[in-house]
Amino acid sequence: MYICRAIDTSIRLEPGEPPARQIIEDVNSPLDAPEQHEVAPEPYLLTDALCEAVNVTITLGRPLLVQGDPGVGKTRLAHAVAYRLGLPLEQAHVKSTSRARDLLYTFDAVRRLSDAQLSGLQHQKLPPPDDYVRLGPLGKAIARAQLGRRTVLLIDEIDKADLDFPNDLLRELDELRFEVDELPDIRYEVPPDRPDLRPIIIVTNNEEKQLPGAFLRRCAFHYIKFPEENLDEILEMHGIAGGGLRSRAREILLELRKLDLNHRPGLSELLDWVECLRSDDVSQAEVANLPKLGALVKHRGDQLRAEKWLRSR
Amino acid sequence: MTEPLPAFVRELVSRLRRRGLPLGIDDCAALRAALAAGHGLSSNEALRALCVTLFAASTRDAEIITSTLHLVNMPVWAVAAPEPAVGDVPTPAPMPDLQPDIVESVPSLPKGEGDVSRTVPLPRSGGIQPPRSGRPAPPFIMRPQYPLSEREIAQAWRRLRRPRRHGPRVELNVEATMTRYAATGLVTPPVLVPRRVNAARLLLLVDRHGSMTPFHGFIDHFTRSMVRASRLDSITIRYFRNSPGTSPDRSALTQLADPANVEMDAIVDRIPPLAAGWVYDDPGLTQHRPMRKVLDDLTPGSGVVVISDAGAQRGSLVTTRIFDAIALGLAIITRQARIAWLNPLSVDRWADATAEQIARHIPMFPLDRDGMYAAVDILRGRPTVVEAPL
Repeated sequence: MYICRAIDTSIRLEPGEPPARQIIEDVNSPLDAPEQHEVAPEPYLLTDALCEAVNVTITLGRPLLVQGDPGVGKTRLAHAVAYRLGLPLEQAHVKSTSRARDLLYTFDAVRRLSDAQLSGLQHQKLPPPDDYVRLGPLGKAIARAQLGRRTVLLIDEIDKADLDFPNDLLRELDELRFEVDELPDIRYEVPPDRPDLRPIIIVTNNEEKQLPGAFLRRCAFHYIKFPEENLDEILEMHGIAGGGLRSRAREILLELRKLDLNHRPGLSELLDWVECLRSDDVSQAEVANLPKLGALVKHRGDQLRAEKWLRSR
Repeated sequence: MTEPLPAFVRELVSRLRRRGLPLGIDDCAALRAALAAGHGLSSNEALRALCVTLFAASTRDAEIITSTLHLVNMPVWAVAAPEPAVGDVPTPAPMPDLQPDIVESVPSLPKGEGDVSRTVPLPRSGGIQPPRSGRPAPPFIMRPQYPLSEREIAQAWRRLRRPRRHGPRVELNVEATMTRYAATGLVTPPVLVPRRVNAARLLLLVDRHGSMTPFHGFIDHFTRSMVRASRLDSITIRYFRNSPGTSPDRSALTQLADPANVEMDAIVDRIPPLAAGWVYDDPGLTQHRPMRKVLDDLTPGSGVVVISDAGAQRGSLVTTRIFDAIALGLAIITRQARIAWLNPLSVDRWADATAEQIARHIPMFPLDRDGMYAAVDILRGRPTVVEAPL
């Protein structure tokens, strides 16, 4: 049986209060000598549906493809999952130039070449070739599993990369193992009989480009809706005390989201805005005049529309 | 997988496949594994959410799955729904003997109201039912189904690739580096080359209004899918009405030997390439720009696709339109670009219309799967197979 077919129910994400503090492995420490460090709690409202989706992905060992409006907490989900489960979080932030292999490892051939040329001149011994291999986030997650420890892996904004990027990862995500092409002796794999060591992979997607079907087929999917009903709860989690300012700001955000804007303000904008208002001691009555609008609405046209709406009220 | 599939799975899979979601054995296995691990058993909503998590890849898919599940007879599981804490289940979990106790004999026609024990939603096939207020009705999800799915469009147009090395020099060229080192024997910096990128550029000229009105939804879906799915260097979409340009000089038409004969083979070499006319940036045809500018932006090797019925919808045959289409083709070819024409109507409707005549000079294909593939082949540089190439 492939590792991708085995069921894993050893760990479950539970909604509700997260633990007050967590000691988690530091991802920057060496894999064979891990160091622990304390991680600050991640304020995140885990809905039951989101929890269930994460649990399905853990059970089946599929990557979870998260979609949703900008600023609803797609990326923070991985942080929250890692914190609650007490697992280290490896992060891969995809760029337009990213290649799939960078997620597994990079081989510094240029440095090795120059070392080889210089060592020939200086009659020095060349460092062992595996010194030139640097593991990427997915590579580290697989290598850590080989050492018996589990990882949460975030692949952020996968749609930014080239079309081939997700396709080139298919085999590695299926089999959870890889070899270093330049040094065929070096190979890493999640032990096939240990589905409980599979990395928990969360992939965020902004839908800028269509992802290939073969990749999508291997993912579980969850769409995070804008949490209109839970805004108060979320603001509270971020340490924004209750009272008039909070509820007023929330009402204004919901009103603004009803306007026909190019970019509707999301959760991150609301948090920034409320933080901004609070630090400037803006009174509750003034909030309705949309001070510090730039933190909330970031298009010139949208700002004009918001101001027009303000006047029309 | 020796046990028979629960009946609802077969129905669900076949319905979803019909709606364009390519589910397979693996997906059934994943559903089974998830159910065995205790997901989606607590209620029909939980099962729906599980199916969305497993099978969907976009909000559109999610809506299709949700609406399809409302049409399928959902099982009532014989096992009690597990408590939320499933964490104690050992690893690997034993596959529980889950035989869903499908409520059998759901009649195709709804019976009287007396049957209160029913837990499955009634099938919708049984005639018109009056609206009920007691239960939340499943939301109606209206999703148009076009002859080409987004996936098919993506598959076809992703083949349009012109890999070029372009951009910053970041990739190590091992061979050149070794050759240089071997040749000089000196410590030399490595030879770097730019990465390969797709340099294919595409101009879409879309006919709008008039006989194309019935196809607006389909064509919008087509262009939207292309922009989203294909990874070209650039896609430019311009709209026009009837013809993207009008040749100011149609004097060559008078040289046709037989005015009743619309075949232009004799005068093709005397038709001036199109240089006038207007196209529009938006489908509403409000922001116009000169066709000449659009043509001047064409780089050698880029592709032009015209989407128009070319009179096939109404069976019209207009000599000047044939003339202008040939002029457009000539203007594109003189800029060393390639042209293909996609017609939303099938080949049998082109006969005796402008389309038939244009297709003699410009490669024209029906806007379906094979037609798209053929058009991509032309744009990739395959020689055109038309009766009278320009």
